[in-house]
Amino acid sequence: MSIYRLALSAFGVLMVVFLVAPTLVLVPVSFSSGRALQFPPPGFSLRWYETIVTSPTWSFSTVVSFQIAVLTAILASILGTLAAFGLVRGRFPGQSVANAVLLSPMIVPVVIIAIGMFAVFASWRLAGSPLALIIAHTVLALPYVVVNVGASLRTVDRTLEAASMNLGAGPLTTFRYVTLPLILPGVLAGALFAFIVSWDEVVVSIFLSSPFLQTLPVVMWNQISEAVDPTVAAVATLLTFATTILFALATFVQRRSER
Amino acid sequence: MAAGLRKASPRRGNRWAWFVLPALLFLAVFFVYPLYEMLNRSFTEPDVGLQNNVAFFGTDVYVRVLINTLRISFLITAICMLFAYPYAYIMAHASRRTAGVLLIAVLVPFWSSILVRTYAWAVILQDTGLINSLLLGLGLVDEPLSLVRNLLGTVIGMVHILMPFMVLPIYAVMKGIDTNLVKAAANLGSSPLDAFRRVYLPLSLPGVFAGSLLVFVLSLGSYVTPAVLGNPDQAMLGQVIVTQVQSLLNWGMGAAMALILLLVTLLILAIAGRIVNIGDAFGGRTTD
Amino acid sequence: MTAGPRPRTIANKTDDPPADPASLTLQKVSKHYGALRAVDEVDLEVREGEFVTFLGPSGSGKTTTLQIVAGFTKPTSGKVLIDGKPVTAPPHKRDIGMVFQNYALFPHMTAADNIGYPLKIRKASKKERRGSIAEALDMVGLAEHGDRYPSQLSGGQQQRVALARALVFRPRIVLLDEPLGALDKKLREHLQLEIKRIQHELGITMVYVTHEQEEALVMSDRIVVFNEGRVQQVGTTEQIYERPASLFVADFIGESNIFQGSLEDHGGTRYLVSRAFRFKIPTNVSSPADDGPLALVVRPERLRILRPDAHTQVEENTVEAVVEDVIYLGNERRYTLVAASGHNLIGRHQVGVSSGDSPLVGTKVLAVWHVEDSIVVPIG
Repeated sequence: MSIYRLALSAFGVLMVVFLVAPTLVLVPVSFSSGRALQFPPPGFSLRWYETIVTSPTWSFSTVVSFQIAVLTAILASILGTLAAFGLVRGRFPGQSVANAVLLSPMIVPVVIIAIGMFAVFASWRLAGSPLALIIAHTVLALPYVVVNVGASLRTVDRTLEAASMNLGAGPLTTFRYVTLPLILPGVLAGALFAFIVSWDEVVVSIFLSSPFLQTLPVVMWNQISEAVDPTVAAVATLLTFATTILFALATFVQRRSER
Repeated sequence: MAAGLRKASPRRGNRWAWFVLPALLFLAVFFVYPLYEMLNRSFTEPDVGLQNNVAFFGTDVYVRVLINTLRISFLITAICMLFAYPYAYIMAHASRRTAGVLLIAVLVPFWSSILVRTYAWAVILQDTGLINSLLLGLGLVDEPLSLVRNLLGTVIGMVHILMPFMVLPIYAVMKGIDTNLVKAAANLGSSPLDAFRRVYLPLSLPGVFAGSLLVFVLSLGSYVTPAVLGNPDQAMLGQVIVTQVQSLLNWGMGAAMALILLLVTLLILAIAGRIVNIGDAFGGRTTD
Repeated sequence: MTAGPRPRTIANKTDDPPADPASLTLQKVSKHYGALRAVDEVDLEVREGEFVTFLGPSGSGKTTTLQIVAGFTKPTSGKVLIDGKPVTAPPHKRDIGMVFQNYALFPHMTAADNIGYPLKIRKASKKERRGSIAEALDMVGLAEHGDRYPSQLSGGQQQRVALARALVFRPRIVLLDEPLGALDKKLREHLQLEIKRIQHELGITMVYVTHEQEEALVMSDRIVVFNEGRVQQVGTTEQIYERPASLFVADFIGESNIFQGSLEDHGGTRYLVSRAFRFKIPTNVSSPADDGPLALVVRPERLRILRPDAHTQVEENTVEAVVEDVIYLGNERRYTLVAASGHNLIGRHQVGVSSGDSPLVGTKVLAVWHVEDSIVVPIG
């Protein structure tokens, strides 16, 4: 029994190392003073972080990524929240089809979505514009908003809305003072997920970006093939740091709304 | 009865349908139509007909890509299952603190982007990477092992990326298993192994099934990780599609391949959908 | 009462028609869900300042009727009048207060904000609001708890906040939908009196829904008994208990000994007869129009339990029975008897009031009641 337990514990520890190590390994590399990716790093320096700030490619794409992610989060939140209301509150023919369509961007392989958009957006003269990226990312992010807002909407006790009406509030006032505050955690979580989806997205962005408009992951993607200096490691460290915080925040908000 | 409140009349219910419309229209224009238009090219480019599909199944290389993709996805699923099951088991039955640590260990990689994780594995596995530096430094090997740009690299990277999708569903199911059942089985004279095999394992299978489904479908469509960590000569379907479209501008064949990938994916989901709730399975985060 | 014929005229008759102008009137209000008649032609008048309780088992239509009054459910047919004027306005324009089953307090607002909500909606000034909120909190004894959130309040306190919220905007009528259902017995009894006190102080019209007969008896000026969507009887608590209009009402409210039979006349004396018994019935019982079966109901406390050889009066009905069980409840003894006819009987005797020794389990006894204590009702 104890040998069995020991083996299981050892396995658990190894798995934790396997799962966490890749996320952590980039941190020392990013502070390396050496030119190449080498182990152990020859010394400590902030030069690669400096490169990010001073290089126009990196800094510009960071700003682009951020703007696109923010606009994606806003657009996806509005469309997704409305849709979640329709799906949760409504009873209409074709509802299950509507539901499937709204969740399908999660299921269709992203490569297929990417070349589909690439094919059509080019003929619409959208490709290479920020709008194309915002639209594409919104498509990918919508299901996350629908799922999150839908989940929190399902927990809203409809008698609270009845109570609000009974106390003299019309439908819009009831939405503003009762329903919206109650689903706000779900909407916020959905918006954060949408932001992260956009912020991390590579495949569709590769197809829709131009040499003049690249998101941070696209720049990273282009540099990875060369993968010579630790700048990418520094960018990756920053990215991981940002998304981890956002995800933790989203999960926290989500948990609160489920309570 | 509060039911009186919730029982919206059919007409009232229909009013909510309008709220779905903007998102549906948006997806129709920017998602469904592009997919349709692109997939349609498999029948229209360069000529109208089934020539692309005939060519796909008539060309050894392409068929091998499909089989290779299915094989790698299967391998990844099997490995994930093998490691995720005991991990989820420990998580479900450890003390709260240990379970919390194990959960965070699953979620942290889940939270960082696929590109970053793939890049990290490249840094670890490449010839001048962490593992080879370590092995060379210790004098265990004379020249770097080739761990990347091959099947091994793809599998390691993909297993790491998809592990949460296997662990979380299994964990969720195991958490719901009444341990008294196992105790009852033991009480009725089963050996621990027997009790596990006859009671616990069958009860945990739905989670294994949901996880396997997710991992398999997600690896089928993967692109980023095999492109960075894999052998370009043993490309997966996703990579070949991109090559056809981006480098060769062969839209007809690219679209034909995309159609096959989509159909295989949908077929698996349709079969599985009869057994598990796909919406639940996809509650988490998808990858490329 | 299942699927029986329509209740006889006696069932819907109000015993004393209201003299004041009615605060709330229902005229032939019905609500059908497909073939299901959730509410079936309900007629009712509630006077200004009256406390009326809708009493009935779950699914009897009482809550649906309340929802119709509040405006949440549209009646299939019929009219709702408030102060004599028909109302069709949506719920938020009705000015009717309501206390919901689960209180329906807004979880994201403090107790004070919950109470202030209807005032905010009505655009009352901040100062006005603060005064009214303080007053309302004070009225329900929660002056110190205004800044607490619902999750920080006990069930009883939440209930008080809900009540204060329903009263603070001085609505014409307050509806209460099983407001005490989730509370334990002691708290429930305490709050029953408190609601009654507040209602009395404010002189406000209240319609209260419950399935607890005791609650209805304690609180109500009048009770409306519902079953299967229909009003079975409207009356004061005493009328409902002492003169139930149907077997359903007799059976639903209080404990009853029930004998079913048909009416027979023997030389001016009328009897309720079946194969197993023949009981005299009071002279004032009118014959049912359709000669249908009747039921004789005797309340357990009217049943005397005597030795088998005891002397009985002419105006008394007697049943031979065997004592099956005696339960000592402190203030009373409860007897379960099995009659020779096979009927199960219940008797209740106050300890210390009834004289003589109590019969033992297994002994033969005579169950005796005065003819005038017989309640004769139609079997619906």
